[in-house]
Amino acid sequence: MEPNKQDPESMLPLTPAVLHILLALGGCERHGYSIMQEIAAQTEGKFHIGPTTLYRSIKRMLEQGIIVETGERPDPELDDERRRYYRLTQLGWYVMRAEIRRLERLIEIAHEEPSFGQLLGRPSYERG
Amino acid sequence: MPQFNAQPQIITLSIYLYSWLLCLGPREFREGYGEEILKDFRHCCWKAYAQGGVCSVLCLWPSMFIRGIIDMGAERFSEGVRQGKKHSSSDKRILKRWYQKFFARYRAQANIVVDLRSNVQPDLYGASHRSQLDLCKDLYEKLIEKLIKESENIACPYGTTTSSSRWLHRGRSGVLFVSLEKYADGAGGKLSLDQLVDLSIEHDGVPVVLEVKLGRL
Repeated sequence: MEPNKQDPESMLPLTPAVLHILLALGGCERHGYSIMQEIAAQTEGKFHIGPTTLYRSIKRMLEQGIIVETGERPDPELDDERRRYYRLTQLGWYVMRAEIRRLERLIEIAHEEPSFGQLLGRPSYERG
Repeated sequence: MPQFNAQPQIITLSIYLYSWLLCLGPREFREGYGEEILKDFRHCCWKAYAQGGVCSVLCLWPSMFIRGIIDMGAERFSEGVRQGKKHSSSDKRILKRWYQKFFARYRAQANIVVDLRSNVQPDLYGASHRSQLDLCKDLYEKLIEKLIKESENIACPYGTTTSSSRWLHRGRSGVLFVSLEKYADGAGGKLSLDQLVDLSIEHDGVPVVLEVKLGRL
């Protein structure tokens, strides 16, 4: 387990690309193209991430210790080329959890606002 | 599964252009991730080709290339910011090139009022004209080295203050004060302590006075 050297809250908010990469890596370790495919599948093709954006994000995430490279091996489903695989670290999980909580809170705020609540088509939350 | 040995020309062309696009980014990023990026891009091209042929691959170009250009520009910028903080050896080379360009531009285009050469008096060290030129070259190199060493706070020519070199604004003019602690002419001659050499340059109507303070040998 990697040491949690940084405060996950300090890394928020995440960019959409980083959040999607974290979500894609939540299930298992993946290589770059597999991450792109997973993101497309998760968002039903509504969010596409290009290779340059992907690897810029990966570079930052590696530097921050959110993900680690687990090695290089071929993906039998694609071709016989060797690919670099990445997986979430413990800090990565904390960061993803913190970001999801932040987004949940944001949605709550939107629902608490009467006009937004109507727009969203859901009853507004009772103000405490 | 794509067979890369029978790669359509449109994919080859796309990869070729995309690899050129990666050259817009910093070298470190290219070396670290360029190969993986191209592998993934090739898969994207193959997927598009399988879905709709050449047109489908061409439809990838605008989004992929525009996004790629933006990303490489952003990466270069962020790398530059980071280099500005760290000042590694490669940063110094970049900075040196920048200063050389800066001075070369002034030297080449500006209406030079007083050249460094004319300020270094031959009788100071009794050397030949050739040695004098070497002296100027050496001084110029040392000046750049010194600027690099002391320029952690310099963001631009008309920038901020450092410990021993600083830009001052006097109306439309800028004055750069640089202190060189050690200096050797390489020709056996010696310069007197605290000998001042002024280099006044005018560029686009803006006079720039470069004051170089020479220390002991």
